[in-house]
Amino acid sequence: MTAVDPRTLDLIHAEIDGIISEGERSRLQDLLAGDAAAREYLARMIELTETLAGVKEVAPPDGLRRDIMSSVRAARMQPGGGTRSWLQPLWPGRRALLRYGYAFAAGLILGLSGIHWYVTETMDVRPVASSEVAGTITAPGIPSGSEVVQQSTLEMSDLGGTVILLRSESGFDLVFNLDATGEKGPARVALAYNPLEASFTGFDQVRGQVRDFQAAGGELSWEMLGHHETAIHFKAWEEAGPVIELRFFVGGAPVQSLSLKLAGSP
Amino acid sequence: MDTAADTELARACLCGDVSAFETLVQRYERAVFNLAYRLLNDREDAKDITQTAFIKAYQGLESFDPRLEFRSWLYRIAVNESINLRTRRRRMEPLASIAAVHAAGGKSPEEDCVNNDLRRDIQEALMEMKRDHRVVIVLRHFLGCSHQEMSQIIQKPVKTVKSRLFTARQILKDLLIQRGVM
Repeated sequence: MTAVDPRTLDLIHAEIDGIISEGERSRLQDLLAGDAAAREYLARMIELTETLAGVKEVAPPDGLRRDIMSSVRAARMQPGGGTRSWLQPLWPGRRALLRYGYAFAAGLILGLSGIHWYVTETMDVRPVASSEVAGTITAPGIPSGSEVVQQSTLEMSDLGGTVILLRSESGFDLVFNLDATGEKGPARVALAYNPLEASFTGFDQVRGQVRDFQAAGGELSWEMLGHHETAIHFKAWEEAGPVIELRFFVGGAPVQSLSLKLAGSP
Repeated sequence: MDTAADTELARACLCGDVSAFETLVQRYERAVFNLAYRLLNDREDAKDITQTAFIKAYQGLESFDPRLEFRSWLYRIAVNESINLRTRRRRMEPLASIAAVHAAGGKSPEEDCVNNDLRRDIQEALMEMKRDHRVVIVLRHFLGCSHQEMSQIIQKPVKTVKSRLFTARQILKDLLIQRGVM
């Protein structure tokens, strides 16, 4: 190792990297004037830098870009390729969760079967008439890692349901859970946003079917009929919170509009 | 390089514009290939890493933070992929592949372009260095990254980057002196 003072070495490397200030350069020159080892070290470093700078780039193989783009296009064509699937933004560790889910479901079925057998075989029970049973089936809760930013309810006679804006680490999910009677024709959902402030990064159809899905230049729209669950994933580029304008149409006529703010960058 | 333009292209990719991604590939294909080549000293491996890095970048654009530079993010992927490849293969690091190439009478990748002993000596010296030192030398001296960019790429504080680069230069200087290059 060199015997050059560490402070001098710092200045030499700053000089080599081109980040030395005028004051530091003046100080370095003073130090070099009285230190032959430092002058030798600087000369070696300059030589090293010039040697490395003289090494030419290696040309990539012909066709590399074409191969890359072919692979990219192939990846894009695969399910979920290029964009995010519905589960992905909400459950980043979904594979592990699904595995636990399957295990839990299997255990639950076995457990319930055992209880059923025990109750029916060992206890004196009477059947319960359907008229005596009441309850509700609820939608699953908000996935962990996501929080509700805004929730709106639609209560028109031809179109009803909820629109929930969720925020997760990866962005925002706009979740539509709608029912369209179709009596006056199909319903249409239209979204508009500033593409410089937010990006549409994924669309996932959970239930029902959409028709005539269109996405271009900050606008998305699709038609639906019957029960319909859809999630749209957005990424916000602006801290201020881009606004998504939502409009709903039934039979071609506007029936409701909403504004949702992608509040804060996740 | 125009960082703002890179970010705009990344945004366009997220909106489904594949041609925007092709522009990014065109812009950085050469740099990523050279980065991987300098780290791995194998042209085929460098090609594979370049391809993998771009595909991973495309698939992971969602996680790209637009406040950072796209190229730093892309280089980080390429560096990590190169390190992973090397770890997976558990190769003998220094000289083995070069020696094999020479023993077989084949041309080294450098010699494919220009027969230059100096360049070969430098590449051999690089391969003798520890991985962390090689990475900072390649990023700084072959790709022209600033300390700040290197900090983003290797995900270490700028202070650590400076210190590592400082040490790496001394080691490389000594290796090149041993080889009579300097």
